[in-house]
Amino acid sequence: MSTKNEIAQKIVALLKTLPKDRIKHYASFKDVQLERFQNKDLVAGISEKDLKLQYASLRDLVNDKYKNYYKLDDKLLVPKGNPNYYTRIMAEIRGEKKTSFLDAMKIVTFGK
Amino acid sequence: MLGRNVARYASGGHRNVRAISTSQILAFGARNSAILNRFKNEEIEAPSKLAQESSLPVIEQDLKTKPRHPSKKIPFLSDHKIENDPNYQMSGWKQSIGQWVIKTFSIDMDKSRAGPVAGSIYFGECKRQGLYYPNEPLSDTASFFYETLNLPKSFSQQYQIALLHYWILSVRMRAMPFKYGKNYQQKLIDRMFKDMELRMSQELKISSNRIIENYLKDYHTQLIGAVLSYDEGLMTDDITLASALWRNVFNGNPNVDMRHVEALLGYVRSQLYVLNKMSDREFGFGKFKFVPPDQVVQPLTKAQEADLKEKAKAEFAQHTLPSQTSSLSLDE
Repeated sequence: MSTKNEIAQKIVALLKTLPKDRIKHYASFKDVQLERFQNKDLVAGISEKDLKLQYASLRDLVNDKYKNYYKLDDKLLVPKGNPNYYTRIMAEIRGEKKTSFLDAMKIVTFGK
Repeated sequence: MLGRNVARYASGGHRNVRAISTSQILAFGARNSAILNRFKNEEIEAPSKLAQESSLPVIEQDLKTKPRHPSKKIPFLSDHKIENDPNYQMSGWKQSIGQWVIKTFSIDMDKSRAGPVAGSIYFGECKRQGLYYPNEPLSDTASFFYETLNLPKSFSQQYQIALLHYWILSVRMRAMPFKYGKNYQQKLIDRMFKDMELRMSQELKISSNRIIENYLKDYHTQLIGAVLSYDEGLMTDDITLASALWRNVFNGNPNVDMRHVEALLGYVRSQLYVLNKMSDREFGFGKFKFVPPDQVVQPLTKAQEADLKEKAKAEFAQHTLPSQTSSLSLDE
Protein backbone atom coordinates (compact mmCIF):
# COMPACT_ATOMS: atom_id res chain seq x y z
CA MET A 1 0.00 0.00 0.00
CA SER A 2 2.81 2.37 0.87
CA THR A 3 4.43 1.83 -2.53
CA LYS A 4 1.10 2.59 -4.16
CA ASN A 5 0.75 5.76 -2.13
CA GLU A 6 4.27 6.74 -3.03
CA ILE A 7 3.63 6.27 -6.75
CA ALA A 8 0.36 8.20 -6.48
CA GLN A 9 2.22 11.02 -4.74
CA LYS A 10 4.81 11.07 -7.50
CA ILE A 11 2.06 11.21 -10.12
CA VAL A 12 0.50 14.13 -8.25
CA ALA A 13 3.90 15.88 -7.99
CA LEU A 14 4.43 15.37 -11.72
CA LEU A 15 0.96 16.67 -12.56
CA LYS A 16 1.51 19.74 -10.39
CA THR A 17 4.50 20.71 -12.53
CA LEU A 18 2.30 20.94 -15.63
CA PRO A 19 1.52 24.50 -16.71
CA LYS A 20 -2.04 25.76 -16.71
CA ASP A 21 -3.93 25.58 -20.01
CA ARG A 22 -3.27 28.62 -22.17
CA ILE A 23 -6.91 28.66 -23.24
CA LYS A 24 -9.77 27.82 -20.90
CA HIS A 25 -11.33 24.53 -22.03
CA TYR A 26 -14.39 22.68 -20.83
CA ALA A 27 -12.09 20.49 -18.73
CA SER A 28 -8.49 20.83 -17.63
CA PHE A 29 -6.38 17.68 -17.92
CA LYS A 30 -4.16 18.82 -15.06
CA ASP A 31 -6.97 19.63 -12.63
CA VAL A 32 -9.08 16.57 -13.42
CA GLN A 33 -6.15 14.16 -13.13
CA LEU A 34 -4.86 15.86 -9.95
CA GLU A 35 -8.25 15.33 -8.36
CA ARG A 36 -8.28 11.72 -9.52
CA PHE A 37 -4.88 10.73 -8.16
CA GLN A 38 -5.47 12.59 -4.89
CA ASN A 39 -8.60 10.53 -4.32
CA LYS A 40 -7.44 7.72 -2.00
CA ASP A 41 -10.43 5.48 -2.79
CA LEU A 42 -9.79 5.64 -6.53
CA VAL A 43 -6.07 4.97 -6.10
CA ALA A 44 -6.85 2.00 -3.82
CA GLY A 45 -8.85 0.42 -6.66
CA ILE A 46 -5.84 0.46 -9.01
CA SER A 47 -3.27 -2.33 -8.85
CA GLU A 48 0.36 -1.46 -8.19
CA LYS A 49 1.41 -2.58 -11.66
CA ASP A 50 -1.20 -0.39 -13.33
CA LEU A 51 -0.32 2.58 -11.16
CA LYS A 52 3.33 2.23 -12.20
CA LEU A 53 2.22 2.13 -15.82
CA GLN A 54 0.17 5.29 -15.30
CA TYR A 55 3.24 6.98 -13.88
CA ALA A 56 5.54 5.68 -16.63
CA SER A 57 3.16 6.90 -19.34
CA LEU A 58 2.72 10.31 -17.76
CA ARG A 59 6.48 10.62 -17.39
CA ASP A 60 6.98 9.76 -21.08
CA LEU A 61 4.43 12.38 -22.06
CA VAL A 62 6.01 15.06 -19.87
CA ASN A 63 9.48 14.20 -21.21
CA ASP A 64 8.35 14.63 -24.84
CA LYS A 65 9.39 11.07 -25.66
CA TYR A 66 7.37 10.91 -28.87
CA LYS A 67 8.11 14.44 -30.00
CA ASN A 68 11.81 13.64 -29.79
CA TYR A 69 11.52 10.15 -31.26
CA TYR A 70 9.37 11.14 -34.25
CA LYS A 71 11.15 14.40 -35.02
CA LEU A 72 9.44 16.61 -37.58
CA ASP A 73 11.32 19.15 -39.61
CA ASP A 74 10.43 22.59 -40.92
CA LYS A 75 8.64 21.05 -43.87
CA LEU A 76 5.61 20.50 -41.62
CA LEU A 77 6.33 22.99 -38.84
CA VAL A 78 6.90 25.96 -41.17
CA PRO A 79 4.57 24.94 -44.02
CA LYS A 80 5.59 26.48 -47.32
CA GLY A 81 1.96 27.02 -48.29
CA ASN A 82 1.39 29.26 -45.29
CA PRO A 83 4.65 29.88 -43.37
CA ASN A 84 3.07 32.13 -40.71
CA TYR A 85 0.21 29.76 -39.90
CA TYR A 86 1.58 28.32 -36.64
CA THR A 87 3.45 31.46 -35.48
CA ARG A 88 0.23 33.48 -35.80
CA ILE A 89 -1.79 30.90 -33.86
CA MET A 90 0.84 30.51 -31.14
CA ALA A 91 1.26 34.29 -30.76
CA GLU A 92 -2.49 34.59 -30.31
CA ILE A 93 -2.69 31.69 -27.83
CA ARG A 94 0.23 33.02 -25.78
CA GLY A 95 -1.30 36.47 -25.77
CA GLU A 96 1.73 38.04 -27.43
CA LYS A 97 -0.07 39.50 -30.41
CA LYS A 98 -3.69 39.78 -31.27
CA THR A 99 -4.77 39.55 -34.91
CA SER A 100 -6.23 42.87 -35.98
CA PHE A 101 -9.64 43.10 -37.61
CA LEU A 102 -8.10 43.90 -40.99
CA ASP A 103 -5.70 40.94 -40.78
CA ALA A 104 -8.57 38.68 -39.75
CA MET A 105 -10.62 39.78 -42.76
CA LYS A 106 -7.62 39.19 -45.01
CA ILE A 107 -7.22 35.65 -43.63
CA VAL A 108 -10.93 34.92 -44.04
CA THR A 109 -10.92 36.24 -47.62
CA PHE A 110 -7.63 34.92 -48.95
CA GLY A 111 -6.96 32.03 -46.57
CA LYS A 112 -3.64 33.34 -45.21
CA MET B 1 -3.39 34.13 -13.30
CA LEU B 2 -3.63 33.56 -17.02
CA GLY B 3 -1.39 36.56 -17.65
CA ARG B 4 1.31 35.18 -15.36
CA ASN B 5 1.12 31.86 -17.09
CA VAL B 6 1.34 33.48 -20.49
CA ALA B 7 4.33 35.54 -19.36
CA ARG B 8 6.07 32.39 -18.11
CA TYR B 9 5.61 30.83 -21.52
CA ALA B 10 6.69 33.92 -23.37
CA SER B 11 9.95 33.95 -21.45
CA GLY B 12 10.49 30.27 -22.01
CA GLY B 13 9.77 29.56 -18.34
CA HIS B 14 8.11 26.26 -19.16
CA ARG B 15 11.58 24.83 -19.70
CA ASN B 16 12.19 25.32 -15.97
CA VAL B 17 8.99 23.46 -15.24
CA ARG B 18 10.25 20.51 -17.24
CA ALA B 19 13.58 20.59 -15.41
CA ILE B 20 11.85 20.37 -12.03
CA SER B 21 9.73 17.46 -13.13
CA THR B 22 12.76 15.66 -14.56
CA SER B 23 14.70 15.92 -11.32
CA GLN B 24 11.76 14.50 -9.43
CA ILE B 25 11.61 11.63 -11.84
CA LEU B 26 15.30 10.92 -11.41
CA ALA B 27 15.07 10.96 -7.62
CA PHE B 28 12.07 8.67 -7.71
CA GLY B 29 13.73 6.44 -10.27
CA ALA B 30 16.86 6.06 -8.16
CA ARG B 31 14.87 4.94 -5.16
CA ASN B 32 12.54 2.67 -7.08
CA SER B 33 14.80 1.41 -9.82
CA ALA B 34 13.45 -2.10 -9.50
CA ILE B 35 9.91 -0.83 -10.04
CA LEU B 36 10.67 1.35 -13.01
CA ASN B 37 13.42 -0.56 -14.80
CA ARG B 38 10.86 -2.54 -16.70
CA PHE B 39 9.38 0.65 -18.10
CA LYS B 40 12.62 2.45 -18.86
CA ASN B 41 12.81 0.85 -22.24
CA GLU B 42 13.29 3.61 -24.79
CA GLU B 43 12.16 1.36 -27.63
CA ILE B 44 8.86 2.38 -29.12
CA GLU B 45 6.12 -0.23 -29.10
CA ALA B 46 3.14 -0.51 -31.41
CA PRO B 47 0.28 1.67 -30.08
CA SER B 48 -2.14 -1.22 -29.68
CA LYS B 49 0.45 -3.33 -27.81
CA LEU B 50 1.32 -0.41 -25.55
CA ALA B 51 -2.34 0.22 -24.74
CA GLN B 52 -2.96 -3.46 -23.95
CA GLU B 53 -0.22 -3.57 -21.30
CA SER B 54 -2.41 -1.84 -18.79
CA SER B 55 -5.39 -3.51 -17.13
CA LEU B 56 -6.79 -0.53 -15.31
CA PRO B 57 -10.36 -1.22 -14.14
CA VAL B 58 -12.78 0.36 -16.61
CA ILE B 59 -15.04 2.94 -14.98
CA GLU B 60 -17.81 3.68 -17.46
CA GLN B 61 -18.03 7.36 -18.26
CA ASP B 62 -21.46 8.92 -17.95
CA LEU B 63 -21.91 10.80 -21.24
CA LYS B 64 -25.47 11.82 -20.23
CA THR B 65 -26.81 10.63 -23.55
CA LYS B 66 -27.74 7.33 -25.10
CA PRO B 67 -26.09 7.00 -28.50
CA ARG B 68 -28.27 6.23 -31.49
CA HIS B 69 -26.87 3.39 -33.57
CA PRO B 70 -27.19 3.01 -37.35
CA SER B 71 -30.15 0.92 -38.47
CA LYS B 72 -29.10 0.83 -42.11
CA LYS B 73 -25.84 0.81 -44.02
CA ILE B 74 -25.18 3.14 -46.93
CA PRO B 75 -22.32 2.49 -49.41
CA PHE B 76 -18.88 3.28 -47.95
CA LEU B 77 -18.09 5.97 -50.53
CA SER B 78 -21.03 6.22 -52.93
CA ASP B 79 -23.00 4.00 -55.23
CA HIS B 80 -21.39 5.52 -58.32
CA LYS B 81 -19.52 2.87 -60.33
CA ILE B 82 -16.33 4.94 -60.72
CA GLU B 83 -15.95 5.45 -56.98
CA ASN B 84 -17.41 2.22 -55.74
CA ASP B 85 -15.71 -0.32 -57.99
CA PRO B 86 -11.94 -0.59 -57.37
CA ASN B 87 -11.49 -2.47 -60.68
CA TYR B 88 -13.40 0.07 -62.78
CA GLN B 89 -11.68 0.80 -66.09
CA MET B 90 -12.83 3.66 -68.29
CA SER B 91 -13.21 2.61 -71.93
CA GLY B 92 -10.28 3.45 -74.25
CA TRP B 93 -12.06 6.04 -76.39
CA LYS B 94 -13.31 7.94 -73.35
CA GLN B 95 -9.77 8.00 -71.97
CA SER B 96 -8.41 9.31 -75.28
CA ILE B 97 -10.95 12.14 -75.38
CA GLY B 98 -10.16 13.01 -71.76
CA GLN B 99 -6.42 13.11 -72.37
CA TRP B 100 -6.94 15.24 -75.50
CA VAL B 101 -9.10 17.76 -73.57
CA ILE B 102 -6.53 18.02 -70.77
CA LYS B 103 -3.69 18.55 -73.22
CA THR B 104 -5.53 21.02 -75.47
CA PHE B 105 -6.88 23.23 -72.69
CA SER B 106 -3.78 22.83 -70.46
CA ILE B 107 -5.92 21.85 -67.49
CA ASP B 108 -4.18 22.15 -64.11
CA MET B 109 -4.37 18.50 -63.06
CA ASP B 110 -3.06 19.18 -59.53
CA LYS B 111 -6.16 21.25 -58.96
CA SER B 112 -8.49 18.70 -60.56
CA ARG B 113 -6.88 15.84 -58.66
CA ALA B 114 -7.92 17.31 -55.29
CA GLY B 115 -11.46 15.96 -55.83
CA PRO B 116 -10.68 12.28 -56.44
CA VAL B 117 -7.69 12.18 -54.06
CA ALA B 118 -8.69 14.31 -51.05
CA GLY B 119 -12.45 14.09 -51.59
CA SER B 120 -12.49 10.34 -52.15
CA ILE B 121 -9.28 8.43 -51.27
CA TYR B 122 -8.31 10.46 -48.20
CA PHE B 123 -11.91 10.90 -47.17
CA GLY B 124 -12.26 7.10 -47.27
CA GLU B 125 -9.10 6.76 -45.18
CA CYS B 126 -10.48 9.13 -42.51
CA LYS B 127 -13.91 7.50 -42.49
CA ARG B 128 -12.59 3.94 -42.36
CA GLN B 129 -10.61 4.38 -39.14
CA GLY B 130 -13.52 4.71 -36.72
CA LEU B 131 -16.32 3.11 -38.73
CA TYR B 132 -18.52 0.57 -36.99
CA TYR B 133 -21.88 -1.04 -37.61
CA PRO B 134 -23.79 -3.05 -34.99
CA ASN B 135 -23.36 -6.83 -35.37
CA GLU B 136 -20.47 -6.45 -37.78
CA PRO B 137 -16.82 -7.27 -37.03
CA LEU B 138 -14.63 -4.22 -36.44
CA SER B 139 -11.68 -3.36 -38.65
CA ASP B 140 -8.21 -3.47 -37.03
CA THR B 141 -8.10 0.28 -36.47
CA ALA B 142 -11.70 0.45 -35.27
CA SER B 143 -11.01 -2.36 -32.79
CA PHE B 144 -8.01 -0.35 -31.51
CA PHE B 145 -10.28 2.62 -30.82
CA TYR B 146 -13.37 0.85 -29.50
CA GLU B 147 -11.97 -2.29 -27.86
CA THR B 148 -8.40 -1.47 -26.88
CA LEU B 149 -8.95 2.18 -25.95
CA ASN B 150 -12.52 1.47 -24.71
CA LEU B 151 -14.05 4.45 -26.46
CA PRO B 152 -17.85 4.52 -26.62
CA LYS B 153 -19.42 3.42 -29.89
CA SER B 154 -21.35 6.42 -31.11
CA PHE B 155 -21.71 8.63 -34.16
CA SER B 156 -20.00 11.55 -32.41
CA GLN B 157 -17.09 9.33 -31.45
CA GLN B 158 -16.71 8.22 -35.06
CA TYR B 159 -16.66 11.88 -36.01
CA GLN B 160 -13.95 12.67 -33.44
CA ILE B 161 -11.81 9.81 -34.79
CA ALA B 162 -12.33 10.96 -38.39
CA LEU B 163 -11.59 14.53 -37.31
CA LEU B 164 -8.30 13.48 -35.74
CA HIS B 165 -7.30 11.79 -38.99
CA TYR B 166 -8.47 14.83 -40.96
CA TRP B 167 -6.20 17.02 -38.84
CA ILE B 168 -3.23 14.69 -39.40
CA LEU B 169 -3.76 14.95 -43.15
CA SER B 170 -4.38 18.68 -43.04
CA VAL B 171 -1.00 19.23 -41.34
CA ARG B 172 0.56 17.70 -44.46
CA MET B 173 -1.76 19.57 -46.82
CA ARG B 174 -0.66 22.91 -45.35
CA ALA B 175 2.89 22.05 -46.41
CA MET B 176 1.83 21.79 -50.06
CA PRO B 177 1.86 24.88 -52.31
CA PHE B 178 -0.90 27.10 -50.93
CA LYS B 179 -3.46 26.94 -53.74
CA TYR B 180 -3.28 23.14 -53.92
CA GLY B 181 -3.09 22.46 -50.18
CA LYS B 182 -6.09 24.68 -49.48
CA ASN B 183 -8.05 22.94 -52.22
CA TYR B 184 -7.22 19.49 -50.84
CA GLN B 185 -8.30 20.53 -47.33
CA GLN B 186 -11.55 22.01 -48.63
CA LYS B 187 -12.43 18.93 -50.69
CA LEU B 188 -11.75 16.61 -47.78
CA ILE B 189 -13.75 18.49 -45.18
CA ASP B 190 -16.66 19.18 -47.57
CA ARG B 191 -16.94 15.48 -48.31
CA MET B 192 -16.78 14.56 -44.62
CA PHE B 193 -19.66 16.87 -43.75
CA LYS B 194 -21.69 15.79 -46.78
CA ASP B 195 -21.23 12.18 -45.71
CA MET B 196 -22.26 12.94 -42.12
CA GLU B 197 -25.39 14.65 -43.35
CA LEU B 198 -26.30 11.60 -45.44
CA ARG B 199 -25.53 9.15 -42.67
CA MET B 200 -27.53 11.04 -40.08
CA SER B 201 -30.52 11.03 -42.37
CA GLN B 202 -30.24 7.53 -43.90
CA GLU B 203 -28.41 5.46 -41.28
CA LEU B 204 -29.44 7.11 -38.02
CA LYS B 205 -32.90 7.92 -39.42
CA ILE B 206 -33.03 11.49 -38.15
CA SER B 207 -35.96 12.82 -40.15
CA SER B 208 -35.73 16.52 -39.31
CA ASN B 209 -33.37 18.54 -41.48
CA ARG B 210 -33.31 21.27 -38.86
CA ILE B 211 -31.96 18.84 -36.25
CA ILE B 212 -29.36 17.51 -38.70
CA GLU B 213 -28.29 21.06 -39.51
CA ASN B 214 -27.92 21.87 -35.81
CA TYR B 215 -25.77 18.77 -35.30
CA LEU B 216 -23.62 19.77 -38.26
CA LYS B 217 -23.13 23.24 -36.76
CA ASP B 218 -22.10 21.62 -33.46
CA TYR B 219 -19.65 19.36 -35.28
CA HIS B 220 -18.25 22.35 -37.12
CA THR B 221 -17.65 24.15 -33.82
CA GLN B 222 -15.92 21.02 -32.51
CA LEU B 223 -13.79 20.95 -35.66
CA ILE B 224 -12.53 24.50 -35.09
CA GLY B 225 -11.76 23.88 -31.41
CA ALA B 226 -10.10 20.51 -31.99
CA VAL B 227 -7.92 21.74 -34.87
CA LEU B 228 -6.73 24.70 -32.78
CA SER B 229 -5.92 22.45 -29.80
CA TYR B 230 -4.11 19.90 -31.95
CA ASP B 231 -2.15 22.67 -33.69
CA GLU B 232 -1.15 24.04 -30.29
CA GLY B 233 -0.04 20.56 -29.22
CA LEU B 234 1.94 20.07 -32.41
CA MET B 235 3.86 23.30 -31.85
CA THR B 236 4.45 22.86 -28.11
CA ASP B 237 4.94 19.50 -26.40
CA ASP B 238 3.61 16.00 -26.01
CA ILE B 239 1.60 16.70 -22.86
CA THR B 240 -0.30 19.56 -24.55
CA LEU B 241 -1.12 17.35 -27.54
CA ALA B 242 -2.06 14.53 -25.15
CA SER B 243 -4.40 16.90 -23.27
CA ALA B 244 -6.03 17.87 -26.57
CA LEU B 245 -6.49 14.18 -27.44
CA TRP B 246 -7.89 13.54 -23.97
CA ARG B 247 -10.46 16.34 -24.31
CA ASN B 248 -11.53 15.48 -27.85
CA VAL B 249 -11.07 11.76 -28.45
CA PHE B 250 -11.35 10.52 -24.86
CA ASN B 251 -14.25 12.90 -24.12
CA GLY B 252 -12.40 14.33 -21.11
CA ASN B 253 -12.84 11.02 -19.28
CA PRO B 254 -11.55 11.61 -15.72
CA ASN B 255 -10.69 7.91 -15.29
CA VAL B 256 -8.79 7.56 -18.53
CA ASP B 257 -5.92 5.10 -18.71
CA MET B 258 -2.72 7.13 -19.26
CA ARG B 259 -1.32 4.18 -21.19
CA HIS B 260 -4.14 4.64 -23.69
CA VAL B 261 -3.48 8.37 -24.04
CA GLU B 262 0.21 7.65 -24.58
CA ALA B 263 -0.61 4.97 -27.17
CA LEU B 264 -2.84 7.35 -29.13
CA LEU B 265 -0.25 10.11 -28.95
CA GLY B 266 2.39 7.72 -30.30
CA TYR B 267 -0.03 6.73 -33.06
CA VAL B 268 -0.61 10.37 -34.07
CA ARG B 269 3.07 11.32 -33.94
CA SER B 270 4.06 8.28 -36.01
CA GLN B 271 1.55 9.19 -38.74
CA LEU B 272 2.88 12.74 -38.83
CA TYR B 273 6.41 11.37 -39.12
CA VAL B 274 5.47 9.27 -42.14
CA LEU B 275 3.78 12.27 -43.75
CA ASN B 276 6.84 14.39 -43.04
CA LYS B 277 8.96 11.95 -45.03
CA MET B 278 6.58 11.86 -47.97
CA SER B 279 7.02 14.17 -50.96
CA ASP B 280 4.28 16.53 -52.14
CA ARG B 281 3.86 14.55 -55.35
CA GLU B 282 3.36 11.19 -53.61
CA PHE B 283 0.96 12.70 -51.10
CA GLY B 284 -0.88 14.63 -53.81
CA PHE B 285 -1.42 11.42 -55.79
CA GLY B 286 -3.07 9.73 -52.79
CA LYS B 287 -0.21 7.36 -51.93
CA PHE B 288 -0.53 7.83 -48.18
CA LYS B 289 -2.23 5.22 -46.02
CA PHE B 290 -2.54 5.47 -42.24
CA VAL B 291 -0.18 3.06 -40.49
CA PRO B 292 -2.31 0.51 -38.56
CA PRO B 293 -1.99 0.81 -34.77
CA ASP B 294 -0.54 -2.70 -34.44
CA GLN B 295 2.54 -1.68 -36.43
CA VAL B 296 5.56 0.31 -35.30
CA VAL B 297 6.98 3.22 -37.30
CA GLN B 298 10.77 3.23 -37.06
CA PRO B 299 12.62 6.46 -37.91
CA LEU B 300 14.32 6.27 -41.32
CA THR B 301 18.05 6.44 -41.85
CA LYS B 302 19.46 8.86 -44.45
CA ALA B 303 20.18 5.93 -46.78
CA GLN B 304 16.62 4.63 -46.49
CA GLU B 305 15.23 8.09 -47.18
CA ALA B 306 17.40 8.46 -50.30
CA ASP B 307 16.35 5.00 -51.44
CA LEU B 308 12.64 5.80 -51.04
CA LYS B 309 13.11 9.07 -52.90
CA GLU B 310 14.80 7.25 -55.78
CA LYS B 311 11.99 4.71 -55.97
CA ALA B 312 9.35 7.48 -55.99
CA LYS B 313 11.20 9.30 -58.77
CA ALA B 314 11.45 6.12 -60.82
CA GLU B 315 7.74 5.46 -60.35
CA PHE B 316 6.66 8.96 -61.34
CA ALA B 317 9.02 9.01 -64.33
CA GLN B 318 6.66 6.48 -65.90
CA HIS B 319 3.69 8.83 -65.51
CA THR B 320 3.72 10.51 -68.91
CA LEU B 321 0.03 10.93 -69.78
CA PRO B 322 -1.43 14.47 -69.79
CA SER B 323 -3.70 13.50 -66.88
CA GLN B 324 -0.65 12.46 -64.84
CA THR B 325 1.20 15.76 -65.14
CA SER B 326 1.97 17.54 -61.90
CA SER B 327 3.96 20.51 -60.69
CA LEU B 328 4.16 19.12 -57.15
CA SER B 329 7.66 18.54 -55.82
CA LEU B 330 9.21 15.09 -55.67
CA ASP B 331 12.03 16.28 -53.40
CA GLU B 332 10.08 17.72 -50.50
